[in-house]
Amino acid sequence: MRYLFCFVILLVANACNKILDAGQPTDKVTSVTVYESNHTAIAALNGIYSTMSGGGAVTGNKSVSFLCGLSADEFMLQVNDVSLQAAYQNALVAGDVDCWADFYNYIYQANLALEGLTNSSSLKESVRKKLCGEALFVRAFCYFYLVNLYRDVPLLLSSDYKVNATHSRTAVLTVYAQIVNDLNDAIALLPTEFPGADLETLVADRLRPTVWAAKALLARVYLYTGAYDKALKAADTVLNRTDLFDTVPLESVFLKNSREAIWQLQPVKNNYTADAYLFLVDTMAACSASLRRAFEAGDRRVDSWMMDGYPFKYRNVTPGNNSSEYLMVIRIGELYLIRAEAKVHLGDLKAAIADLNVIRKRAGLNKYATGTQIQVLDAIMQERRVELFSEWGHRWFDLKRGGNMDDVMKMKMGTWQPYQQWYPLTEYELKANTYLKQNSGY
Amino acid sequence: MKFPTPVSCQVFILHVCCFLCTCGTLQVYGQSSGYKVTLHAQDVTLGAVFEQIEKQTALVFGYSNNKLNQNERVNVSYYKLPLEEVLADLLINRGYVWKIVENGIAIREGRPDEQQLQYLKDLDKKVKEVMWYKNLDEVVVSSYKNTTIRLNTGNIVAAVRAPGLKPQFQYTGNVLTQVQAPGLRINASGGILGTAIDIKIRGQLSLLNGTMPLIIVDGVPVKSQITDGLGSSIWGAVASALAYINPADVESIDVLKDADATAIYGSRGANGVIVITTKIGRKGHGRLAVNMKAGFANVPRRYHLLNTQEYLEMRRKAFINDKIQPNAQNAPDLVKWDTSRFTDWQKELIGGTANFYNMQAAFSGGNDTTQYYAGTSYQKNGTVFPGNFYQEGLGVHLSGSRGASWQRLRLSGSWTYFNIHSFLPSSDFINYVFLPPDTPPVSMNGELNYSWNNPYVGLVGPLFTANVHNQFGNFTAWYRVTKDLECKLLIGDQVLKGSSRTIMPIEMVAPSVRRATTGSMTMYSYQAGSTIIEPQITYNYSKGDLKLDMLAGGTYQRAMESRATMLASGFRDDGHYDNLAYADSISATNVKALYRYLAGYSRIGLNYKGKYLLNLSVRRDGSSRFGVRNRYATFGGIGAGWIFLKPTLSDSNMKVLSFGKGRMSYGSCGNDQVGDYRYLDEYTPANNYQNSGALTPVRLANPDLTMEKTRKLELALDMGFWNDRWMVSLCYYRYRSTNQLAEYPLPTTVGISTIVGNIPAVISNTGWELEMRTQNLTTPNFSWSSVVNMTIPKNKLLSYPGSTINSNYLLVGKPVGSMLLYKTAGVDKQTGAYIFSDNSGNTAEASDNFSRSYWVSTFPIYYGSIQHTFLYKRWRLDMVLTYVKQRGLNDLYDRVYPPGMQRNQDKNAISGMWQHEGETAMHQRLTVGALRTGYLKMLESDMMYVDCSYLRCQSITLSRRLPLRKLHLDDGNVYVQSQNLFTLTPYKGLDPETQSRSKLPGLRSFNIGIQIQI
Repeated sequence: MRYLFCFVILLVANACNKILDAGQPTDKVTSVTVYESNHTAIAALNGIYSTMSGGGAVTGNKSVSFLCGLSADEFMLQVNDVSLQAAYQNALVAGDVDCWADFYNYIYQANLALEGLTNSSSLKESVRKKLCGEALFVRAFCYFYLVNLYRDVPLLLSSDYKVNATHSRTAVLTVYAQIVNDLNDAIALLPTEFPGADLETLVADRLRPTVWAAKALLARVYLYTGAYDKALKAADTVLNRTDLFDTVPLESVFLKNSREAIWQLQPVKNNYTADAYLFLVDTMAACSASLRRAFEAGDRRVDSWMMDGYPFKYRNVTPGNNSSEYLMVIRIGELYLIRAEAKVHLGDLKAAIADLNVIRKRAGLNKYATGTQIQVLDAIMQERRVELFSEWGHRWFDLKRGGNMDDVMKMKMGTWQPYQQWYPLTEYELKANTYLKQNSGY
Repeated sequence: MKFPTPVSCQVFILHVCCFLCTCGTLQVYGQSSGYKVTLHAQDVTLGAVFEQIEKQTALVFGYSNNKLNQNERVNVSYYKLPLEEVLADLLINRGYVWKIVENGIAIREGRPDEQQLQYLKDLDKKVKEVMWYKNLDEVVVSSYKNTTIRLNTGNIVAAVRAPGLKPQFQYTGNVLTQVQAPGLRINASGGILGTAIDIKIRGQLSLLNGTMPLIIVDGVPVKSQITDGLGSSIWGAVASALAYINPADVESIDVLKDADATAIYGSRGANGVIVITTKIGRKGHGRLAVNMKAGFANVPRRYHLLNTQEYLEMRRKAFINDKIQPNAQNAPDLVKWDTSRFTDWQKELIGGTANFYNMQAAFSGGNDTTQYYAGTSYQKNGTVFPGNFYQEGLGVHLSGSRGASWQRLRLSGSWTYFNIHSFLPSSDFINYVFLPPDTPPVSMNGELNYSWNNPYVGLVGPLFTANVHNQFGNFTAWYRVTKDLECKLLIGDQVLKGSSRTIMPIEMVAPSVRRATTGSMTMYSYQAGSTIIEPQITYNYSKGDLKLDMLAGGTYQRAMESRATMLASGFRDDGHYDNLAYADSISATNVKALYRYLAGYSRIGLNYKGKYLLNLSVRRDGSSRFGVRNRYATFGGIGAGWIFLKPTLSDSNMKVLSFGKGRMSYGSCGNDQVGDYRYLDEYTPANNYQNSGALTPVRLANPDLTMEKTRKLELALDMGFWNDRWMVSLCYYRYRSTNQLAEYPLPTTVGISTIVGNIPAVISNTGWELEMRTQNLTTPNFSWSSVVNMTIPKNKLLSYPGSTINSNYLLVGKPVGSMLLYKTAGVDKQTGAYIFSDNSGNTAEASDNFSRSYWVSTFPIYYGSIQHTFLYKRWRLDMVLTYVKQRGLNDLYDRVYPPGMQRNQDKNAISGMWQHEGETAMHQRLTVGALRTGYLKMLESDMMYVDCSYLRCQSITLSRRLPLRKLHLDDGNVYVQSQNLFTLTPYKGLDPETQSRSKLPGLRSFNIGIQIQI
């Protein structure tokens, strides 16, 4: 009898829930309806790329490329903006710059997408898988930047605001482990060719993450974490796809659909990149004297990628309907240098030098002949500096992992304190989530 | 059986109280037997009525061949009536007659004689004249049951009772605007029918969300607002949906306030409940009642605007002050226009007379088991604007019931339809009354003058046409399983549909540019539907002195709201707005929401010895508006009453205190007006990516979203003096509202910076309410009775968590809605510009960034109403005065143009103005723009808030009964009435109630009318 009673109660409770279900609003898109059709589910991922490409941490005057370039020794700031000056003078205080919020916004979107995609049963399976792969990739990508900017960061893997609003920091290594997991999962799901916006037809645009983007990022993550053999392997698989990727002449590297590109983002607000506008129209910063000195004589990159001292990798700032350039996120040039660096660490100097020389050759420089392990490593780091300048904070991150940061930075301003290599959290963030602690020094 | 006014209108849901009160005394006077009977009772057996008559008259009933069913349940209300009339009422319609013998009343079957029939007729008229003052045993519609003032434990005000043939309904007939009850505050926001009204019961319980009480018409919760105001600008962002309940159909309105009365409405009861019951048929022969009235309305107060001479002087001085030379560009009114012209724009634009007329007819009747009512009404009113604008309404109300209280099965149903067609200007003409008085003529050579911003273009366009239909119906069935167990089922439905059209014709622009102009039309459609199903079981139990009534029930409601707008533009010809094919482009948007609601509830009422009363209620509610984790909530209330003094039958002497009851209640309620689907996340389109659509989330899902909660405590004392001629009730309430819904900030790691959720902010509402119902004077020819009520409310935001609070509006420790303002410190003696002061008394000019240091609250300090009824022979005078003490917005200051700019001004806005160096002044000097910063800052200062207290004659009605016999009428009267006859106020603007200079104020109306019943 008691059981029958319980059963009836359960039945009634269930019926009540059904009666109370007002369904989804038909005039708005919610996370339930968005994953009901292939078209809207793809649109949700497009939303991430669209927000990324619209500015913030990814491109323009608040981007990782720009801020880290200022913090490192890449740029000479030319505007009198308080926060940018603080970044430039390595005198940040809490609240000056904030890449944090942007990356967490992308992560939120990716987590929301992962939850929606996992729960959805009405999507075409192949589309669903690819989208899951993209979301995992985006999440890993964002966490990579967060840990390199802020060290320990909260590792948030769901969209639940209650959890996320009170999460404390997670150790860097745990975050890296998650990045590796996500990337490996993504590799199993992502396509090996570049898909169009329907995720099925193949197109020339390299605007969606593929297996190769995931592997390239994985190679970078392994390199950063010292797993050189794995970095080598991952870089190998990408570089071996010579049918898809190759180095291209300097002038063509940043063009849209360039064979150099592993992943590009399409400008959505204008038909040119915010990075181009930043240096060529706003002229907010020029290349620093030390960066310009870093180029060897005869380096063709000085003429090709710099104009009047301003970065000139992106050249298009004319409005119109057709973009000629897309924002480069990951490219094959970096992969050569990753592989070279991994090989040095694994002791294969000759092969390392061969990879290094691929980049040097394109820049019109003499072949690097030979050197000790340390000399070759220095040569690679030097090459990274001049090859990847103004891109994605490579210099700032390389300084941090290279061990010579303090010497380099002291030459820049003289007021350098090692704690400044980690950006501060904003006051707002610390107030809103009391479980978060400020980075030491601030 | 006679049904005096208050009693008969109720559909008895549950017969809980069988209380018999006798407060009359035996008197011998006049002819016939001389016995007088006073008796008020609800739902008692005929036998019990006879028993009471025996007690009062000392006569004994004798029955011969008796088939009279003494168990029939009846409602009676006699006040000092001759015994013969009472007997006629009780017996004749049942087919019996009587004879008074020496010490008894003999009853037998038979036909009445002439004399006895005359008694019945006399009574008929008397009952209609019975004073309408509230009676202790008047039935009030409480939560899911009917009870009486004497026996209820909660706070329920029977605010409107079927006035019989008392004239009602005047110019703007919003059904609730005439309701007077302590604790209830109704504020009109404008004088046009359909404009939103603000209704608050016992203060503001919510920070940001709805404070509207739950409004139930014939058991169906109805919409009180039309979101988006049907796309109009004249009604504003929210139009009133209550304008579409026809006052002519309303029998009674009850206001439920405290926990005992509202806890059983659960998640929707926090703001109080207003129960409206529509008319039903009454026993008796079929009667046709007709009411016709006609009258006019106008704007009661005027701004004291400058005439042309004063205006030009002001303008010239302003130019001199600012050292600017007037020219054709900056001063067409001085340089270009004919400065000898004078137009009184107030008179032109809002000075008109709005004629209105209204006709109602109803046929009703029935016998013991079947009653019917069929009524219809037609109304039309003009506006005070120029042009032929009007609003026209048509209503039908049908109701029928079958079955009597002693029968097993009873059924009743009703259907109500009301339609108002409005043809109005798109924007309120009051916005143009401040035009310079020397404007060029409005028309030249028979053509509109387009050479200046001519308000008469508003007669051409944009023009707003709206049509709103409101339909509601209900069907109720009762089945009495045993004497004490009854089941009930109510099914109700409401459909509110509105559509509107705003046309902007090409004719709005000057003929010379029409070629290059196209017309456009905006269509708007609104639909709200609601269906409710309510099963109920009631059970009565009594043993000895203990009476117990129990109720259990459930509610299922499903409601839908949809809105759609369509803009058609590019019409090249004004004649083709009906044909969309002529539009160049059409765009549309729509919004749709569904709402579901499910609840179970129960209540137990205990009555011990008719002295100790206890009432427990509980409700469990589920609402689709809340997040999945918080969809259900439980509410409960307890009410207790102790009648410490009640009259006994032997009390023949006048006692000072004749009745006394103390009661208290405590419980919780919720407010679910948080909007539909607010717990869900939302995506919005972003820039396309890869030439394909992109969506980004803009709102977080909040699965914890739930209702706001209010705990209510009330203590009250009800007392009757001198045989209940004076009824005084005093009560204190204390409400604590928390779980407030707010948009609060989140750490950025969450991904979206804010979330709509419940925060533990606490709002306190406390107050005292007093109500006095008095019979001041009663003589055979003259009587005077009054109802006075007063509320002294207090509101306070007790706490608000979090630091990122909008500090100008949410002030902890102050009433909700208080604002922080700048503090003016007069006018600088040298420059003549406003100066402002900070907390520590420092003063500085407007450009200095002083913080706001002055707070003001518009929460009323006290309010109430005074109603008087005088009866003299055939004459009757009803008067309703309302009063409030409050601060509010000063509507004298133009919100854009400081005095001196090209805009007329009220004299009060420029009086005490700075003129010469070294002068102390109230207002800053005239300017054509130089001192505008200071002026705009002044608009956000203490000077913008003034005393808006008022005493208003809400309505006054004088009526005279027609000579019925001469005219062979059943009943009838002629009347004269006025609404808003006068307002005593220190307020200098148009209306201290609306406090607006952009909305037409409440109008003053006069009308005459006639009511007859045959």
